[in-house]
Amino acid sequence: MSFNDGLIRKISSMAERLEHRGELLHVATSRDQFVDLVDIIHKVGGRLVSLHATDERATAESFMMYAILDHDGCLIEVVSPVWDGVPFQSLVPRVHAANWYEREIQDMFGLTPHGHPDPRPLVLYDDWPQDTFPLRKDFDSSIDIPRIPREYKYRHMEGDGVFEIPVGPVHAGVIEPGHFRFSVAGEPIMALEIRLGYVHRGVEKLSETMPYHKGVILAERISGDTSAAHSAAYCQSVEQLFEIKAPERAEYIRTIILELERLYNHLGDISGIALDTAFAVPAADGYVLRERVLELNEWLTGSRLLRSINTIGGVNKDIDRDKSAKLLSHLVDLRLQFERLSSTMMSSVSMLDRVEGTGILSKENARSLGCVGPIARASGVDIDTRRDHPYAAYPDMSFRIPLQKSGDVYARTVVRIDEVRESFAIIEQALDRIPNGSICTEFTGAPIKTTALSLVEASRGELMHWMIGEEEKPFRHKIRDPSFCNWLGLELAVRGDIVPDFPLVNKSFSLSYAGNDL
Amino acid sequence: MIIELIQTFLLLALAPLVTGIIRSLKARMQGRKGPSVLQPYRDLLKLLYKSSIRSRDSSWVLSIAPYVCMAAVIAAALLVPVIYTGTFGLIGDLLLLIYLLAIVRFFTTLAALDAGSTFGGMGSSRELFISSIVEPTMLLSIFTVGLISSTTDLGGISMNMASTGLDLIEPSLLLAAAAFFIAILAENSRVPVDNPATHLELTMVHEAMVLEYSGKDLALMEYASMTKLLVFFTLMANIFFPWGIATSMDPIALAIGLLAYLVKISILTLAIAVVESSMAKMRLFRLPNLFTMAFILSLLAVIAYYILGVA
Amino acid sequence: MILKLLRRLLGRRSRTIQYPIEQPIIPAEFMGCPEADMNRCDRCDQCIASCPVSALDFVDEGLQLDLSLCVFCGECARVCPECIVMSDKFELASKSKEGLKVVFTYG
Repeated sequence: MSFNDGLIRKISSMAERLEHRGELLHVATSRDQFVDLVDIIHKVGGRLVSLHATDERATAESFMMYAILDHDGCLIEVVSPVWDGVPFQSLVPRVHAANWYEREIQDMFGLTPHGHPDPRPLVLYDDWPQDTFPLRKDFDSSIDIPRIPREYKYRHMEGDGVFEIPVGPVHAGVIEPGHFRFSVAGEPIMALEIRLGYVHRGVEKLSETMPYHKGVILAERISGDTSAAHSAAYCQSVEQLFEIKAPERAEYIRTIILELERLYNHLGDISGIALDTAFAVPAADGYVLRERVLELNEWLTGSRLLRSINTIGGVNKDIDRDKSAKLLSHLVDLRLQFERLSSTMMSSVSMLDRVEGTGILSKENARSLGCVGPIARASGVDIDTRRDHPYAAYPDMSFRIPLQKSGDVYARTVVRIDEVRESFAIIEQALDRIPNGSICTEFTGAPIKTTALSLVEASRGELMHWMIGEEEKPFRHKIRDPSFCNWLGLELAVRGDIVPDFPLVNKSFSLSYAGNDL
Repeated sequence: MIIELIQTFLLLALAPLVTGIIRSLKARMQGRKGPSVLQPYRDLLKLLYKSSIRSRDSSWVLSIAPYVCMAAVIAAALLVPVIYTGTFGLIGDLLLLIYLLAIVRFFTTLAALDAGSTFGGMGSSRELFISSIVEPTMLLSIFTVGLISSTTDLGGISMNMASTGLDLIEPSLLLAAAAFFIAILAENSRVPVDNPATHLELTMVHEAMVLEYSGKDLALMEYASMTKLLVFFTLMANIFFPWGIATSMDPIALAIGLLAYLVKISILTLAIAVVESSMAKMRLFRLPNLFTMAFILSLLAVIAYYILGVA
Repeated sequence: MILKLLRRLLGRRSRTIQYPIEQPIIPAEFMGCPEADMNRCDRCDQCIASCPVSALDFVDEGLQLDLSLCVFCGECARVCPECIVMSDKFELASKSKEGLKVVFTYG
């Protein structure tokens, strides 16, 4: 995709420096022009991919703030300095998607956004001391942080007959912790506030201490069911730093692994949606299919969740001809069972009554919040990293991107069902066309480049790893899981629905708490 | 008198087994083995020797609710004919039965509000919303059978219908039975009204009201709901379709009565398990559609009785 | 739908494995507990360096693996395929933390 000339002219008039780094356009600007420049790109349809900060006080005497935008298939990275003690102008009034990013910057670096509508802490607990910022370079992670009890202010809704229902973070089922505060008038939900951060583990800080080849193991464990996608993105970033390319056979194997991950995740989500409407028999059948895929993963690679396969420079395990043939026949069998399951589920009137019209996320809301993945596609937003920024073997694959318009639970289920069919097709194509060759490129020495950016379409949506690399380990590693963009969509989607429909809408979004909190 | 006592004990003993069989059938339809059919007995025994913890903000209502519910259900069990048409009918008739079950609902609902937790309040409001249409339905459908057999004493209804043979099968009986079946689903929190096996507190109706109990209190509440289910089944089996029940204390008649009872309960258990497994739970505000339909059916049953033949 | 359900009740298609009476089938690639053959070890320390969680260490009796830290990533087996193999053992529970430290002895 080529850059829009008019846009580049407007940008260059406001920028201090313009650089083409491969597929990325790097724009350095001053603090005052930052918000206007990002807004210009946003107004012509640019989507905010990430907004993060780095502590470059040792080299550049300031913090640096990076905004990465995706305009029509082209990636633009805008950077400007930020200083401690000087509040920076908030992007949120113009670009709503920047909301949680700026709160995270405030928590982790102590840089205050001026004009942010909601400057409460995002990932750090209420009792975290107010002048300690974990991602700063002078933060010592070995000392014990003293805790100071404080209160977190939730948004309140007042009115006659308006109640507040707090749910979590300890739930009745064995699920990840998250706090949901509903303001209801009887059964209809007036407002929902989601508070996360309960599984914040400090992954980004930890990553700054791990050498590259060990960092793959950490990346796999950011979000348990997105191991293959996170590790693929990490490996691709490090490969960009060292300027090595994985051999073609490895790219094909990576594609197969990524699609297998998408398969088992979508099967689990579809079954979960059936289970949350108490439609137990198709749900049980669906979970059996998911288990079959997990067993297939284990037979193929030794790991049910596809861990320990991606490595820097390629993959660890090969798929020989024998395995390839057996995999194909297993997949044909699974596909038949899946078609039977989806037709049973989608033709049941009682199930359709529950899912149609529930949890509607409009296209404008999905776009303005920067939602990604099947949730965005179900609301009519046509984005998919496999087509817009192809990686691995996707340039050689032909597949459709399913799109729905209604934005309700039904649309999200149909999008997932269609994506399962496409995944089957992609795996078959990959197994058919896989070239011979080695499966890993050696890498030695020091990295050649300093920054890297890798986008991967995980089962939940677009995932980003961005890195500034030093010789042995990353200097700054920014991870943006797709769930980070989508949680606010859930707050908007449940408005107007009744409380018993909330678990169904939540399951249709199927977001990762751990991926969000890092 | 002995036979009546024995038949009540039989009902009380079988109640957890029926719940266990429903769970096992549902599990098999989902393709898994599921827990043993005797598991509810083990669960109740385990709960009985654990201590109960009550919320500090609750009052005496929460402490007596399990006992009141248990007592009301046992009293209801004394009133229904199980294998013999004789019951303790001198203490009351079908009106008393309906209102004993209403006491169970009243106290469960009140106690759920007592603890002050949000889920209890939600469960109570949903339960009362459902029962506002289901209770009249139940009343009307049982009244129809009372009309057909010209008495309101439950043992008497059974006796009259059983001894008159199959002549008494008429449209109003079938309409009333259909309405009552829907009432069974609603009163005992089965799919499509409520999911008894869910872990999602925000969707629960009956389970949400029982969340606050633990130990002995929970054992009593669980047992009360299992027994309530079997009482409903017994009503369906022996009031709507009582053929086979023993009308005299002759041992052979009693044996046939026992066999007939077990067969009818098995058919009902299978029917409930199949209905639960074949559809999703209905949206909360669609339930009035279902219940109003049941109410109309029971109303039609009464009207049909009068139109088709008062004779 | 109802017919399908009734057919299931009559058939015997349960997917439950009665573990531990029935054992699951372990695939060849399975990554269970790492096992080291210390007769072939030349103390190059590569396995210890490669472990991302520092679960391996040399003690007097041999090589110690701390299962409470191990994430079964297979890196040690990859850098030293002569000595270390990912076995098919998955029943690794112990009643004490000390019991989780497995030692592979020389000879």
